Amino acid sequence: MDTWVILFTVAVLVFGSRFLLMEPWLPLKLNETVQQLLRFSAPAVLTAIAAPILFIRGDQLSLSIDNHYLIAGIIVVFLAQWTRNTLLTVVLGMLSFLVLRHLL
Amino acid sequence: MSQAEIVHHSSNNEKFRAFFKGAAAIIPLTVAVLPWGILTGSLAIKSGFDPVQSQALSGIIFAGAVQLAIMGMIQAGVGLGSILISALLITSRHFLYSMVMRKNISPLPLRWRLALGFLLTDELFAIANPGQLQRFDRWYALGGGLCFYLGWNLATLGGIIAGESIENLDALGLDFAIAATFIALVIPTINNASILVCVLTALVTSVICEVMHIQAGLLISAPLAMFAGYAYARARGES
Repeated sequence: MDTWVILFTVAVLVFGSRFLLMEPWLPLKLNETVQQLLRFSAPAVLTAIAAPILFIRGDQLSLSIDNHYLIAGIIVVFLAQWTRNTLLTVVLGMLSFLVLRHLL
Repeated sequence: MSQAEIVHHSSNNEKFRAFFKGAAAIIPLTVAVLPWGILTGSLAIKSGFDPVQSQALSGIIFAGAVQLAIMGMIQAGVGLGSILISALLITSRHFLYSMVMRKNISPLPLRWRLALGFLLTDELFAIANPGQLQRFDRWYALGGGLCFYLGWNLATLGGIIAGESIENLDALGLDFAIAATFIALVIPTINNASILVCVLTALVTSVICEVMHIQAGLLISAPLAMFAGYAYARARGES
């Protein structure tokens, strides 16, 4: 099949997943329970994407001090708590990750 | 639908200011994905796509995880049905984002819904969701979305130009940058016990899914974490 046809079909699918449920003509009523549930969507999804990156090394759960992803991740948690500044946290977090990588 | 929570700007000056505020807010996230964009562009070339197709992956699909997943499948000659099912699994979290943003974006004119819908990535959702941005501002969201789109596509272009000369970038530990930005965004939003319960549930269940090699574990861990947070809030009578 033509590569362009596949690319455009996938693009339509991805766009649809982002666009469709925001359309006003769609009879989607979000009741109070759903609204309350959705409040938790950002912390749930972002944590579920980030956690495996920190805790899994080579298909295995790694809770050791040698896991510099995990140690740097813990440092980022404290940086975020103290600085409350995303850019500063990410920059200092990446620095500590690179230092740990070099040391460990 | 509470219109009161949506910002309306009276002057162009204010629109520009909101636009650049949104762009500034997404800069750390853009920087964190630049290496991934480079990797994606370079991998596309290595997988045998021509430069225009490689750029189109980022330009029209604009979803890193989907792009990486389908590249190999297309080149291996996998059927369109299987490609679409894989893409749907990976992209399904966007249904959740758009449901959350529905309250704010559905009252906007079609051109805004099309633009913000196209730009609604993990990163834009991360800066513009109601927990992060109490009063939704379309210009702020557009600034953030376009800045991220530009960054992702320029990085892809860099990867296409570098092509074969890019070594195995993932061996450098670039995935940590993504984790760091998401942590930096989530931590300040943990302002009550139910969100903490949600975060801890997401952490434990996502790691378990990964250890058990469950494909699309996000579809299990994210809903579980949302229910856990909600149930805790209900039990505690949190408002």
